[in-house]
Amino acid sequence: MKKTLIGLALLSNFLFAHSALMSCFNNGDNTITCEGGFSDGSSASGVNFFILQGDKKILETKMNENSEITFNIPKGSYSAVFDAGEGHQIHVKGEDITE
Amino acid sequence: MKKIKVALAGQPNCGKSTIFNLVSGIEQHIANYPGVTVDKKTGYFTYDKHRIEMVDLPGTYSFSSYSLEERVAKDFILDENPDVIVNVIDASNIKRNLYLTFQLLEIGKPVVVILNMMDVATRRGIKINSKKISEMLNCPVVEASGAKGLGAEDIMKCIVETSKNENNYNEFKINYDEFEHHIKNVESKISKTNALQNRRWLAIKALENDKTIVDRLKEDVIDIEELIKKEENSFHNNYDKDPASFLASYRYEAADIIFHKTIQETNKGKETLTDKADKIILNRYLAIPILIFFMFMVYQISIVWGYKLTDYTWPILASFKNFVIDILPEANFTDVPMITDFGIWMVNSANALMNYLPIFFILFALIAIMEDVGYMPRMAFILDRVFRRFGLHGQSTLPLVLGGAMVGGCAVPGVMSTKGIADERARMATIFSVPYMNCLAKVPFYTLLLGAFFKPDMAIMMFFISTITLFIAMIVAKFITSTILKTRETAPFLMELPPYHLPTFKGVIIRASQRVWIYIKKVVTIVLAVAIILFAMLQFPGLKEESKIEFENKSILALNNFDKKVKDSIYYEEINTKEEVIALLNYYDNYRAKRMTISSNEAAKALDGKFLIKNEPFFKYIKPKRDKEAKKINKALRDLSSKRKAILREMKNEKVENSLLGMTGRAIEPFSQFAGFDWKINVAFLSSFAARESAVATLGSLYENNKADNMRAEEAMALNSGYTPLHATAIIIFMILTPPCIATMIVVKMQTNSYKWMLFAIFFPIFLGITLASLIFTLGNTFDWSGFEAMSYFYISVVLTTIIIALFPQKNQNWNGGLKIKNKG
Repeated sequence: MKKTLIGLALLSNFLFAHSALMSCFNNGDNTITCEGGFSDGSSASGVNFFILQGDKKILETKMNENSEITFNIPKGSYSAVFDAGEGHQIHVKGEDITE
Repeated sequence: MKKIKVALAGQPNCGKSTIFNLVSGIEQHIANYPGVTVDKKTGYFTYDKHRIEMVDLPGTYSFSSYSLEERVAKDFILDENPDVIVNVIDASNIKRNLYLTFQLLEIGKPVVVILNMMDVATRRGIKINSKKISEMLNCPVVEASGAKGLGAEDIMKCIVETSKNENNYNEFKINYDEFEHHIKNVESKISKTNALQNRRWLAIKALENDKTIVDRLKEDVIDIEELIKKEENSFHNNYDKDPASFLASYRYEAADIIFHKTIQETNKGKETLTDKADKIILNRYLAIPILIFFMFMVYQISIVWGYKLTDYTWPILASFKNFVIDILPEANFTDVPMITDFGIWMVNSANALMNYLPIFFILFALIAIMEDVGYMPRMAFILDRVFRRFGLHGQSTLPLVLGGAMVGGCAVPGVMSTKGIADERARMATIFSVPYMNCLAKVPFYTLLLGAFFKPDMAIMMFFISTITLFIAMIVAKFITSTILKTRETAPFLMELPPYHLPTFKGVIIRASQRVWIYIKKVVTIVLAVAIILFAMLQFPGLKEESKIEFENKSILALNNFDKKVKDSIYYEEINTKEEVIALLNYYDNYRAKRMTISSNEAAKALDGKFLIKNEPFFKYIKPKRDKEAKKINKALRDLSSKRKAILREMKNEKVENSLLGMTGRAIEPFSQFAGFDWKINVAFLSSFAARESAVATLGSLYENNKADNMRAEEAMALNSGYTPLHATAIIIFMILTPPCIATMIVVKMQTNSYKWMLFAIFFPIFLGITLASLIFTLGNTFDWSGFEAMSYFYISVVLTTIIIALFPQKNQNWNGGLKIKNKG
């Protein structure tokens, strides 16, 4: 029973009426800024953000009030993930982030 | 060029629309008549030097004023007085269709009969002597097959011929024997009416107590009602019969005569494919699972996949928005021109609705397919018994499902799809109950509150929220139909189950596009008006003088700061005036905004190219590469940009607080406090309704703690608001009951065609929401319930209420008698 309930709850959770967006820039000072948002203009402030290296999360934080996050460039390959819930994750690979 | 006005009439499912599409081709023009909610389509085309205006009337079984469709069709014939009536008949089901034919013939206008679906009839072994029908009815009969594309030329030729021969037309009469002198009596009394129609027809309709006709006649013949009553009584006294059913039996008999003289059924008694399919689809045990499966598929394909499609279509809307932003005047640092604010607001409002288009297109196409196949009437048939107990109709199924009966949907397509419900009262009840279903846009809001206050019970709370909506919708439907909608017309369930047939691709696409187009036209006009009002409510009275000065100082500080940072740069010359800095900042933000909507590398390169051309010196500041000096400026620029964003956000929050909307939020605090809502919650609700941004953002910004950057809105709220879980329950209950958004209100207006009903659809849920939220909050406080307990009790009461209503016997018995033993003691 409990499993069904959780299933239902998850099901009702995965749909949003908008699409998630994120773009990242290399600031050229060994930092990267990613800006998140939603297609309907909603703010992404407080949305989860993390950096994946392999399967490991090497940084976990949240988008600030301006829907932005700035972090130091990690060594090796990585991807930046904007996590606005199931079905609303944006992955940006480190090598795709240009100056 | 001679003009011919043609009315296209026929029973539902006779293939009227395929005939309409067949003759009108692609180049049809769709007109929407104001004042009615049921669509009439008009096609204009030219044939043999004649300009033909063909109006596709809604399908009707008869002409006796039961349903909205019939009224629309009748109004058209009364108001527009067509030259020729084209009657489409399902050749595979000719007897039933002929009943309507006789009613059309009686109108007193030349009729052209089209025997549609001849291919189906042939396949079923039905042999039709159309020449004989034509001779017996004295009207041209054309054989056609809309689905196979046969007969267009013959139909057009026949219409033109008939109109040319108008002068040779002799009035069509059915001899009603003993009723004739009553008809004559009325006919003579109404001879001076201004109506354009045949007097005999008007007299017959009046004697059938047709409300539309009687109302019209009343304008010229004041005592018409008494007159009819008198004739009715005299007929009743002499023959013990009611005029309406007496006349109907004559028409049925006439149809029967035609049928027997002209039709030969060689396959009679054999089980058709339709019979076989119905054995499964309408099977006692399988019907419901099959229906759930189909509903799930419709939901899955239109809502779920449709939303995925919006991922691909929204960039089009985004580029439209970018285009508008480009032509609007630019901001002067934190001083954004009102016209720019307004323009963006309007584009956002329109885009929010346009984003639904892929969903609607798919949805309308699926509905068209289900209509064409013949599943819609079957679905209504299956569920009618359950829904009837709540004042709804079998046809309410689809709207409720789309509104979110399963996991969450959207009230906009739900309300839109109520159009086909024949029973006026059930249709209205459905329109008002669909907005209670689980709206997708509310989900993040629930997640926020559950995350903040109900962490351990999150799953079961979500289950409560997502299932309670259907029960509430049912109760509301029952309540509304037994109170304010009590006097609304209801139609007897006259649904018959047509044979299944394959839909045509062209027909489905045309119908879906037409409905989408109507949506666009209506929504654009109404949304613009509503958006303007809301914009004003959020803008005025605006910032206080002292705040203005404060923000001005902050802006100057930010600009000075920037100037200090870049002063010793070698590029200082390019950015040493305020104008230059602002131009650079706008250039930078504009680039970032456009970059956000791009995902591919090629598109990003193209964008870079564009910006390089636009302003070459500035480009190095947004993409400094190895240029150290430019990098420094880039960093300062980023700082300045986020400072500007912060200031603009603060200004916006203060504006909202002081706005008319904010004042309203404060003004209703004395009432809302019983539900535990302070003014902030009120503003969040109001602006979530108005500003279309989710309530989450509003709540977040109202509760955000400026020092703790990394705190999520829910954490900030749990910490800073002083709310208890009981508060949260009250808020959730209110949110469940409130209407989701303006878009829904607009379609309610479209479907009910009345602002009064739209206002009802807004204020009734608010009233209900605040009442129940207050009740639960007060009870919870009195008995010291936790938020979770309060929600559980609320859930149980709602479910119990629904069950009681469902079990309560219906007062639908309008006969009595049988063997009655009189007690004479």
